[in-house]
Amino acid sequence: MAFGSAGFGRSKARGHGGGGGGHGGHDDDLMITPLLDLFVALIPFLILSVVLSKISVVDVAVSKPVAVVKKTTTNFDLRLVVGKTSANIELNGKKVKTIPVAAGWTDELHAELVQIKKSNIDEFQIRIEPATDSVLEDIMGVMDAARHLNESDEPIIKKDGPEGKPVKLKYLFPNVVLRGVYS
Amino acid sequence: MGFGFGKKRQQTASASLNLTPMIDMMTILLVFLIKNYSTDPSYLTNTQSIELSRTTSETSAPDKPVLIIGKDGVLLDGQTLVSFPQGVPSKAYLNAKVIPELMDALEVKKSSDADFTGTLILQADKAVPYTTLKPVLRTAGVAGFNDIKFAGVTKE
Repeated sequence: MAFGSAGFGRSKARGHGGGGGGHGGHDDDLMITPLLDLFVALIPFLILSVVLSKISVVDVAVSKPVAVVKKTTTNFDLRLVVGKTSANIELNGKKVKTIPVAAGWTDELHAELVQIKKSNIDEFQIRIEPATDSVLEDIMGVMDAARHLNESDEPIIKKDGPEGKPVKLKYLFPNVVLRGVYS
Repeated sequence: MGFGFGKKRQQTASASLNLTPMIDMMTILLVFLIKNYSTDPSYLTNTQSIELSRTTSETSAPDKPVLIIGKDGVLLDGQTLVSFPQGVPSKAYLNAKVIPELMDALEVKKSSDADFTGTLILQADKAVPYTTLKPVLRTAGVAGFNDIKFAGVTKE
């Protein structure tokens, strides 16, 4: 693919008759300096504009104001209270485990949530209640641990549809609801 | 270019730089960069004032209003709504049930969006405490923006 040779490069008319050239080696070079200037200006700009780190989003539902909340029919209530020093997992009002916030604590949290998922395979919602001093980085870490299964996790198979077709689950509790927003 | 070596021949040696390969390369590079620039689904740009959290999510951000909570204040689509003097939110901000400036701006967004889904993209510094997020989330919830998408940098 030679774009340059097609039109931008040197095009000396040497008596071909088409370029109006005579026999005296008349040069009708295309002035490529402005084109080069444009390239030299545009390419660094575009390279610098490229965001090298991809920005993604994590879906979070914020609970609605009390007046418009509809009563849920499910009995499943998985709640995660995230503090500055520890995180409590509560299932249907009972405390399941307390995990101290230390290095690798989200892995421990994830492992515990995988166990809960195995016994509640049809449930997808988790309510996260961060303490006021929790920082966003910890909240995002908790949401990542709660949302999907890792490749290293033991597969969880769910029988789906009327035929009971086995489906390998990718997600743990992807429906994250943030609590404590209105308190 | 005559360096004085060919004087005896009485000829002028003409050495021109062949720019064709370079222009070819630049054209290909330019086309690639422009294509990349215009089709990148993640239109969010990481602003220098905030450092985003890392996430394992790979979902790209939709074309929805972007709310930024930085050290300097709260911005909606680049427009400053609330300022944090010396980087600290005021007590009035922290205790507010709703932030009036944000509420008004969100109502405008809501009424001008024919395809309103209640989605709001939140870009916040990873060190922002939940107490600073709460007034914004509360205001967004009251305004009907219940589907919040927290932006983060994808972990490799």
